Amino acid sequence: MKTKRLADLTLGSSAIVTAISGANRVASRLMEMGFVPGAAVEVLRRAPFGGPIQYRVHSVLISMRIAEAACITVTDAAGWSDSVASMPVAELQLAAT
Amino acid sequence: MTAASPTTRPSAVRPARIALIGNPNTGKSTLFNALSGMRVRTGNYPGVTVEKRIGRTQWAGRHIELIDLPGTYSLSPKSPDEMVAVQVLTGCCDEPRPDLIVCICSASALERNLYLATQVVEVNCPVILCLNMWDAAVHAGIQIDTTLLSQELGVPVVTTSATQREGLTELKAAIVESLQSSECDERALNTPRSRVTQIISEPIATEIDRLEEFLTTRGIPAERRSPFLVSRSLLDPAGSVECLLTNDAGSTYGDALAESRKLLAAAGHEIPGVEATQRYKFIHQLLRRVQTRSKPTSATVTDRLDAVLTHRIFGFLICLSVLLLVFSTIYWFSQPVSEGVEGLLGWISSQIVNFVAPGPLRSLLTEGIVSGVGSVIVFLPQICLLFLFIGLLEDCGYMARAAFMMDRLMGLLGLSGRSFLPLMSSFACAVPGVMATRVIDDRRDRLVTILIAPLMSCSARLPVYVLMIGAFIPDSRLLGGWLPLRAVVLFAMSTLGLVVAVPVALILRSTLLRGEPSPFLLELPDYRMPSLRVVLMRVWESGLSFVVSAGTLIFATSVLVWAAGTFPGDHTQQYQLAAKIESLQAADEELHATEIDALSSQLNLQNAQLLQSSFLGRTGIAIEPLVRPLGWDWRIGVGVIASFPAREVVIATLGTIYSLGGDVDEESDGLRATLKAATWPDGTPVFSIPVAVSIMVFFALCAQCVSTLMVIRRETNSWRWPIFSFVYMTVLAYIGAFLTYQIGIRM
Repeated sequence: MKTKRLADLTLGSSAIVTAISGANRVASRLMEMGFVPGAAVEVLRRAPFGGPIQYRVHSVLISMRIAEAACITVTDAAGWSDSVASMPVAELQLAAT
Repeated sequence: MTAASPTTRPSAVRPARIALIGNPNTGKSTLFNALSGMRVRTGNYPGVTVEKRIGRTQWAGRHIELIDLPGTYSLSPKSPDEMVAVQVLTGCCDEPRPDLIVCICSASALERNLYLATQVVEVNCPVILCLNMWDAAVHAGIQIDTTLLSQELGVPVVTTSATQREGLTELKAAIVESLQSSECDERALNTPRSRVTQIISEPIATEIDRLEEFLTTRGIPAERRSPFLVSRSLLDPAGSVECLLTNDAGSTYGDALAESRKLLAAAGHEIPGVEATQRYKFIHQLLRRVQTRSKPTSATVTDRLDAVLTHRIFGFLICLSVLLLVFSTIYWFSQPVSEGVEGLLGWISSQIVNFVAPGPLRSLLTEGIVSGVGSVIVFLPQICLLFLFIGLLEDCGYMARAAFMMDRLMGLLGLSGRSFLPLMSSFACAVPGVMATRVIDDRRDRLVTILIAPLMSCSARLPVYVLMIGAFIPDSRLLGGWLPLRAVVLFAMSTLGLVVAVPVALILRSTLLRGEPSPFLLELPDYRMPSLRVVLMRVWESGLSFVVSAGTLIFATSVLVWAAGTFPGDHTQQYQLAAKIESLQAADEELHATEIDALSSQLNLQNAQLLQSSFLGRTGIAIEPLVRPLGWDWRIGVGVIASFPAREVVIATLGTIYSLGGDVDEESDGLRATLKAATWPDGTPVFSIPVAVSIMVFFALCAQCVSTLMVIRRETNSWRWPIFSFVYMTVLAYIGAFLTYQIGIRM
């Protein structure tokens, strides 16, 4: 099971959130906006000049800067739970919790 | 129906207070406007710059007061806006508790929107869940079993489509019914208990019980230790509710909280993260039973539009074009309208001149009052146009994309993408630009933007540049004869403010307005057709608030400056001359032409002397030692002081001081010639290239615009920031002018 940071994902890929590092307001707000362990995240596109990145989570579009995306660790669908690897991405939400 | 206890139940006499809460971009404002009609009152919550919107209306014979709370993501507030929402719901500060809460969710995004809803249903108050933008959800192939949803959450559920004005009657009926039943029984106060345990796991519920007992032994009344308040104090570390309860119960409550949190962390329920995890789990399981999506989430109009509009190259170019279009429209449209306003005021003045003899009353009316009113009204077209654009861009969803794309650029100033539009608007005029900073939600970013907005070269500085460059910069060509030096200097002056703004912003951000940079978590809403009604209402509200809050102060200052430039002084000769000239003009202007000219010159001389002996003039003379190092004489000093209401006034003031009369403008050859010929008492010329440039640099950086300062006062809700702006910009301008002159004379 390989874990990466959300910031390292390539455009167009998807992943499942495993954890948010830090216990400050940023981490709290990220979780309230839907970046909870088990949530499926899609990486959409990046703003010009290395600006913020657009993600889709819980059917909502959210953009954040690299610094914030670096707080979120993710894993791919296969890494989350072997038994549910064949389920569609949306169904994987919180299936293991 | 009898009210049980008048002190705790909403009575039929006082209006029922209904709070509207919801995530941003759920159409809350449209719904608020549809429910409350035209009777909306705006203001500020005490002590903060959060806008307060209250609507008054009547349904089914009841008086209703609707409170439009700021958009909130959760009841663990992360911004002043959210803090106000929590405070209104919990009933602390001066706001009485609402009688009913309408929680508004976007039906297309329940996966996220229900997060706040699950918190709101725990509040000690009847709640109605409103699924707004229902038409968009149907269109996207989403089906929701509202009956089951209502059962699961224990609250009535209504579907609405505020822009289509559908579902409003059902919502009003549900609200009235809910109000009536809550007045009759205790049910509303009992249900929250069961809802809390449904969503939050057992260990946390146990801690909440324990803390509630703790507060009971401390003698806290039941209303102030409801399960909702206790759970919020536990789950939101160092939040406003924790502070509230610690105030009530003493610091030992803080210790009890810390102990609970440690216990829970050891059991694997780390606060604050555990709340989000558990709520989303509950929502996910709930929606599996209640909602079905027949189309995949990616094939939407929004995604197709975004593929173009947020494209790295084309999207950026489109964004730049849109913003430039907004800017140029305001710039070019407001000029003829301003001229129209000035023409109208000129006509009014001439009517007054016909009816009132030359004297202090006429002077007060034309130069004080009419001029004062004019200096307020002249900004209205630009403000209204800018807010129209902002309203349309925000409502259709594009504004968020613009902030997204401009974020990196703004990062150079230590700001976020939301600051781009206000700063760009300030290039036309800082008054609407400062008002536009309302789109910035981070308090510190907003303040920094407000403080550097006046540095953006506004259109009122141009006359000064044109005059000085036209009179003193030689008409030579650079780069092989095609680039005029004058154009280069004009460009340099126009961008000087922007260049200086960069270090100023960075310094402010690292000293005075230091703080944890707020995360740039920006939600990009679905694109939708903007509601013209909502937008126009916002334009009206903004224009009105400008006239009432800032306009009155601008007017007062104009009259004060007029008075400072008129008194003390014996004006009898001035009035006599003016009366004589007018009677000659009325009789036969051509016949008496030479006599009129002679009298006019005498009048101009009188005006110059009177200005010199007035309070304004004396101040100018008194500060001459201060402005000598800038190469200025006292006349320029008076011009600078007189231009405090508006920068372009300096031209007319210079005309008056040099006995040319106040009707000159920056293109007048007469004024240019007079300036070139002006000398110090010992004969050396006053104006030289270094002096001219130092004047321009001063005006580029100074805060000579009372309108901007009054708008800053209105937007920051205090006098501290406009005073600070004035002081720091004047100091900056002084240093700039000083360096320019001192270096200039040595070159």
